[in-house]
Amino acid sequence: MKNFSELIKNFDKIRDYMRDFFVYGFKSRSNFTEKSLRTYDNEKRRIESYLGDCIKYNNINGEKNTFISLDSSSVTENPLYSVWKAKSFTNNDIMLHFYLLDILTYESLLDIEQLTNKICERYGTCFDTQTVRNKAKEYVKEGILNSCKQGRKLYYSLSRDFLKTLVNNYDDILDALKYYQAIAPFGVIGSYILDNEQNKNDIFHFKHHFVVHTLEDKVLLEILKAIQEKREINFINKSPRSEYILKVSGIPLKIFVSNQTGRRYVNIYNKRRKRFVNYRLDYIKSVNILDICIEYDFFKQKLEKNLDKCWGVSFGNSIRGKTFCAKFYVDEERELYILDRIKKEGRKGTLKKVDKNIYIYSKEIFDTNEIMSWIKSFTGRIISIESGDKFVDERFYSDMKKMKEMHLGGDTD
Amino acid sequence: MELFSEIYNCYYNVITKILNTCSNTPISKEDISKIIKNNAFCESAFYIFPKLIGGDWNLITKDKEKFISKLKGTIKRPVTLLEKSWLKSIIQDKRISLFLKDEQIRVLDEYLSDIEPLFNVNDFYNYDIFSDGDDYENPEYIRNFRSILYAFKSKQAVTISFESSKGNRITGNYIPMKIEYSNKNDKFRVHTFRIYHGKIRNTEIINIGRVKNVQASKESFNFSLNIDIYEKINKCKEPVVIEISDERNALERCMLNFASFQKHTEYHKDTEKYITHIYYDMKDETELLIRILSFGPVIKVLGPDRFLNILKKRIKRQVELMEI
Repeated sequence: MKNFSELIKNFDKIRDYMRDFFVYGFKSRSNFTEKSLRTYDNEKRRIESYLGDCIKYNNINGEKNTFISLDSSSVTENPLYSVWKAKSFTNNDIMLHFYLLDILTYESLLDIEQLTNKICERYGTCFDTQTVRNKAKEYVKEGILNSCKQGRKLYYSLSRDFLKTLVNNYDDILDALKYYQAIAPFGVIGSYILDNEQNKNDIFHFKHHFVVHTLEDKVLLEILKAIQEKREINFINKSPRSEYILKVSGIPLKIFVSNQTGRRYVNIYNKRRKRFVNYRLDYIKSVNILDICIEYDFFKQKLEKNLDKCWGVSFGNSIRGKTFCAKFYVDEERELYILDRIKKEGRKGTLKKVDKNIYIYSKEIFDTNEIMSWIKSFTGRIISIESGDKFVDERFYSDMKKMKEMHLGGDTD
Repeated sequence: MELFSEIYNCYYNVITKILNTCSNTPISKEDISKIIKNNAFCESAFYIFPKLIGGDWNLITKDKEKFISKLKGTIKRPVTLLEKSWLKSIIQDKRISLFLKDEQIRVLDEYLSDIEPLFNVNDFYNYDIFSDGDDYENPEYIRNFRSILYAFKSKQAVTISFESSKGNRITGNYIPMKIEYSNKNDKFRVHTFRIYHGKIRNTEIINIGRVKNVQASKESFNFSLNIDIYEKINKCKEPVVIEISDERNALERCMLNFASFQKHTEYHKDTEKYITHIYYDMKDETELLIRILSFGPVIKVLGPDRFLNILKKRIKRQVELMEI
């Protein structure tokens, strides 16, 4: 039996378990059927080790559930970043890391033979030249070492780029890092920098913060590379709701982010279907970057023109582009804040006063079904809606009846 | 440039800390254990300790009963290309002016002139962000933000004048307890204790965008500041308990929507229902109510009674408006 290791080689394997423990948290061991129970046990043990106090347990229906419990507004650092900091390595990797850093901190411009000999003399561990060369090359690629050619030989030195040399006020950049490590895309990189500075965020807290987004960063990085280079991609899309695995291809144009529902999507133009489609990043398993798209700028402009009519991520069906209207009752003496809410949350819709305390909000939207969650958040103030879609209207009125039955039990006194 | 690389592994950081600590002065096994415990994962000591002490990594040597680094001196990893590329991206963000002066941004930008940004802020479309976010480029806003940040870091009371949501001008003495940013609102808020004659009067949350003036306060205090006490004061006494139906993908939508709250969910086999307990800050009660209402009848609120009554009042009003 292979020994258990706390560290991992493959990020993707643990990603789904981490997400399930955090987002759902009600699944027990027997619910994890995709992989073996042994895999579940190992991944669970790792997550327990990485997240410590955030792991909680529940005993329901005679089964133990493991889940991640945290109030994201009270943590200053994303606990899920720990999985990014758990990449496995070999004994040679760690020794060479410290030996190269040590030697090149105090000496510079050494060729590979000199480095190999110095390591052997100084620390008593002798590597073959090729092993040292591979590590040195890797570190040049990562920007830790610099290399320069003199004659036929390559000489290595340590990069002199430290955070203190990049800016003239170290404390200010640290404050910025403490903020951006949570809110910027790939915030884990900010956390890497802070770790290296032996520092951590002790200033900022983050509300409405979806810490789980970090688990999508590997996929996101690939997609952004393709966007930057204006290339097509294909990827595997696996929704937990469907047993089918979908292979999708298209031109990635933008990342759609919801700060309310916690979802992030890649918007792609599907040339075959001649339409824009959004795919959830958390359902994307692997991304392949393909050829450059010569019409890239044309599709991007086309998307930009359409954004105004998207309430969320849907571009509607064949009968799209309806004007949605909702009539609200707002007590002008006591509830002016409701008007402010509609204005700031209404995504450039129009708000008109039609009578005392009566207001109409309207906006042209591709898919009026998407706006209904927002409209329902005004429950208690909605007089009527007109979506231009019979199904949407009927469902809204039926939902309100159901709410009445569910919570008032038919009794309105 | 690898995002998932051992260079950023927490073991490397812990070993750096250990080696730099025992660079000149030998340290004990207990000291090493302590560094691992405070900086690595729960189980890491089981893996790091034997490798480091046993010599597999050949980085420290025994010095009587203690251990000393084999390295020549202290070491530090330079900033990697990945990190520089990320820094290049964040200096494109308008909020960077809150932290760095124009000259500092220019110097950093110049330093990173041959680096490609890791991402472009324009590649992201935040479609449901509120439109009244803070004005980060306003010099008055920047000044107030920095004054509050300074007061927070130096643990000092400040006199803050701000406009309340009802338009009244309020001036008081406050101790900043935490600075909070909301993605959804695109706003910074400062959570404070309002003090009067050195004693706490109440807690108050001030939108930095509403602040008109910040000055050093003459108030002093001699109690220790504890964020846990502050959080406890505002935490709900009982969680909101909701029952989630399995239609319209409600379970998945709810779980993700409420993922930022402390919560736990149970599946009851006998009733085939999912029950979620959501813990929240009392000052966010209305927001939680609105979010629950936005799901419509796929969520049923089970309690507590106080919360349920507020919800019922809203539904009753809706029923009257629509005459259903």
